[in-house]
Amino acid sequence: MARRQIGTMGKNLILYIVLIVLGLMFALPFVWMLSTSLKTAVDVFMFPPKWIPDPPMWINYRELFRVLPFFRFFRNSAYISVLCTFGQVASCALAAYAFSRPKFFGRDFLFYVLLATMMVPGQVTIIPRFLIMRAIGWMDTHLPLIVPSFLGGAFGTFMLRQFFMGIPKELEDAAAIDGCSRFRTFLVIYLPLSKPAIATLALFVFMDSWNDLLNPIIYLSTPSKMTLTVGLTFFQGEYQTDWHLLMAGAVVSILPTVVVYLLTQKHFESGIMMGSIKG
Amino acid sequence: MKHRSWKKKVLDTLGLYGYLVPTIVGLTIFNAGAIIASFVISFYRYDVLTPAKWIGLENYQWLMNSALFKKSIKNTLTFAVGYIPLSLVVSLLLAVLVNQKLKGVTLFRTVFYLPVVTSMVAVSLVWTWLFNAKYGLINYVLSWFGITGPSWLTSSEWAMWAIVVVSVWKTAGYYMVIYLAALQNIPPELYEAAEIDGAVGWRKFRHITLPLISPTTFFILIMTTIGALKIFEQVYVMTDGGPANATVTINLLIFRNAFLYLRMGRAAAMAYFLFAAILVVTLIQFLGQKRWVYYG
Repeated sequence: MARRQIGTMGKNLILYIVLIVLGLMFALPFVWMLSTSLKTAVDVFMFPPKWIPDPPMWINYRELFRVLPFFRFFRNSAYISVLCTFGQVASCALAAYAFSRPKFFGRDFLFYVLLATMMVPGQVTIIPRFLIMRAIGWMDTHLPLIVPSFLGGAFGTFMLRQFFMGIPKELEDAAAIDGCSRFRTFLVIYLPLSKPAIATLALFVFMDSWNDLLNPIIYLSTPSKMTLTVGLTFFQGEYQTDWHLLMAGAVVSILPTVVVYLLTQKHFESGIMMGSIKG
Repeated sequence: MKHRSWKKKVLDTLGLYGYLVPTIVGLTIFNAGAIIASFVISFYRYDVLTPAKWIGLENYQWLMNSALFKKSIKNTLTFAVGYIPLSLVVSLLLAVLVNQKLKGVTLFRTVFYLPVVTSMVAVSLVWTWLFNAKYGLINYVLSWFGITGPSWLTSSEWAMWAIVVVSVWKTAGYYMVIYLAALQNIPPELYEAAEIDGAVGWRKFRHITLPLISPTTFFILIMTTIGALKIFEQVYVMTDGGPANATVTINLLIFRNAFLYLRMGRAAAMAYFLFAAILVVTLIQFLGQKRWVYYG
């Protein structure tokens, strides 16, 4: 018995050591980013490097907003991501509702075509999309980043449909007997009961939009219209990079998604699982 | 009566299509329509500014003859060869670790997942700094062990491997969560039965865990393969294809041709090449799964 306990303790010790080593490998880049963001331009190039900046240069964060229109970037990112999230959740929920229970002409065909588009890499569609946006005069506006989100999406529709199909049909039947219209049933029964799934989808869409690189760089050209994620790359100099400012910018840019993640961890992980059911 | 119910059905169907208006518009224009348009464009020379000109298979011929495009295929495959197995191993290792009943294990789970929610741009910039040859943290840590680290991102030998490391670090937490769910689905009775038969440690893992999670491994294999073939952001931010084209990937060339050189036809041809490559590789994986994926 005693030997067995020692064996478990030894095993746990090894597990902790492995966990800590790996934990450091995953955490250190973040720690280093924060540490660099608080250094002076000179201390950044100290060798061997200092781990804890002394004194911490909080002024770097103010400098950040002075050198580049960082507040503007932040605002652009925020409003684009919020609108995308709203548009995507609304359009996917509507489609998911139609695809969930009622049978109608063309339903399966449409649903499978929608699912099939998930297989096609974005590189195939980006060129015609670009040409369309250009033709309708949306270049250098935020519209190409926002409007497509209002036009549904395979992943969100599929995910919400799976969730809707788990809602007891009896509820809907009871509502119908009470004379509740289809749209009202959607609003007062389906949507409130699907809060977890909707929250998950909203989180994923928000992240994707906030973190997007490709769309802003191909559609936007005026620097002040850029998003925060792309604005970061402006710190990368041809010859010399202000690493302390760049790292401060990186901290600011990841803060919203990291905070949202920490607050809603459960939704995130369940969302990954919902997404992977399709496999 | 019959007529009325028929009319009601039509109205009902139309009503349902009302819910699908945004989806149908998006599907027609931005997906199905764009997929077809892209294919058509791949047979044209089109620079946006002058009218498109039909050139038949010339774009595809260019792909077959271009040394740079061949190099991009080679580089993309190099990335895939590093990224796919490392992702599978690391994410499974993380999942096994955070699946242990230990105090504080959820904290580690959060840390492992954190890179997933941060943008690839920010992550790539931070790692560019970490990989800095002179002042980077990585070469500093290596120097503790008496190793002089290479100049990573400016070395054509090492740059792609540095990008592999970043990519695995960025996405491992995501696949960890998927593996974790698979591990938690294994009935404990199976382990107990194996213990009675005298199986311990590695043998339990090898003969019970691995076969039972093989459908998940297959799923992650497909996902990481598709992800690897489409690699773009890390390369765009960290090396922009350099040094000496050592990290030029297929997707980077698509981006450059379409949006820097405005060679839409050629870029569309490349995109279709990539699409075909993904389909073929996925198909091969589906055919090969019978040999190793265990569906209980």
